[in-house]
Amino acid sequence: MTPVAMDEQKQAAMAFLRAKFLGALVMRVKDMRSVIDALAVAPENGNTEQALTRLFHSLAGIGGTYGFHEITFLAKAGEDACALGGRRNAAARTALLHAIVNAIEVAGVSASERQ
Amino acid sequence: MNQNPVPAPDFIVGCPSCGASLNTSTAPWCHCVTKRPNLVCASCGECGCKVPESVMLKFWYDAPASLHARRTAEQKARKAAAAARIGAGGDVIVVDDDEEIRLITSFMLDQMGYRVTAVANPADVLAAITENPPRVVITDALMPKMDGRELCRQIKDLDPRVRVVIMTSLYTSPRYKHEAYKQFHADGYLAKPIDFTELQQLLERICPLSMHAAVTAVNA
Repeated sequence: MTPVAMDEQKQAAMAFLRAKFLGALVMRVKDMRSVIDALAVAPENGNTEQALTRLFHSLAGIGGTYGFHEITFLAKAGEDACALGGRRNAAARTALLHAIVNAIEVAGVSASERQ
Repeated sequence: MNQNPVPAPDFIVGCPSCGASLNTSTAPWCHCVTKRPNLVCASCGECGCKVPESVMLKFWYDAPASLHARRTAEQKARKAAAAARIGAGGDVIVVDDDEEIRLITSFMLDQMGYRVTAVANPADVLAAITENPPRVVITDALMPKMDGRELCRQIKDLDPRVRVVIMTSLYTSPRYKHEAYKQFHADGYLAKPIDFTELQQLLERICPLSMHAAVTAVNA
């Protein structure tokens, strides 16, 4: 196989992996929204907050690894937003978390269109 | 002079699980992923790894010297055999509970020229170290079943020649890094999101590809 053909094969494989990640991002976004809704109902539930933090943390580590640094940036913002605990900030936190997840979804769609 | 020495008698102890007689000379070892495998009882089929630690401590306190000697000799033989096979299990094992990290990291390492295996369960790595050790283990720091630093410690206990790289985006404080290097003897530390250029430079330092041919020749 020529070097050019090998490079094309590598690029095709990478494109496949990135497309797979973007496909899985849809499920991640759905999971995040479910957990945010659960957190809105019980804002002081530490387990739910921890679960949401883990979702954002995992995405923060993966997004940039696949070359989608905007997704990492947004996921880190989501992690920070999770730390805005307490009943007083619950409504504002929920709104912020939903906004961040919506932004992640848009980032994923944009990335898919660029692929 | 007696040309046929009398063989040493079999030593019997009580099984820590059921109390039945356990022949310390012939009972097989368990395959639990622990530092100290225990004898499997023919009566109850248990190995005692799940009994309270105080019970196992008493079992080994009361065990005859011959059993201790047998275990030590067999552990040394296993370690020697594993040491001779360093690299036979491939160049790199990637451990992460996230499938997408395993996929992309395996792909990039393969492109760099390394032989890669990806696993989700840290216990699979420990089993591999015993049988066919790799040259490098790249592990996530935060996993459901085991912390990456603890995995590093157990890998180094089993075979200190295996290099360990810990990757994380959570524990980035200097203190954590210091602990990873000094206390657990990690050989490298990689921040997430992974920069694969940085990973390649790190691996070239601790596990150069040029060694692969030499290792292959030795193990052939």
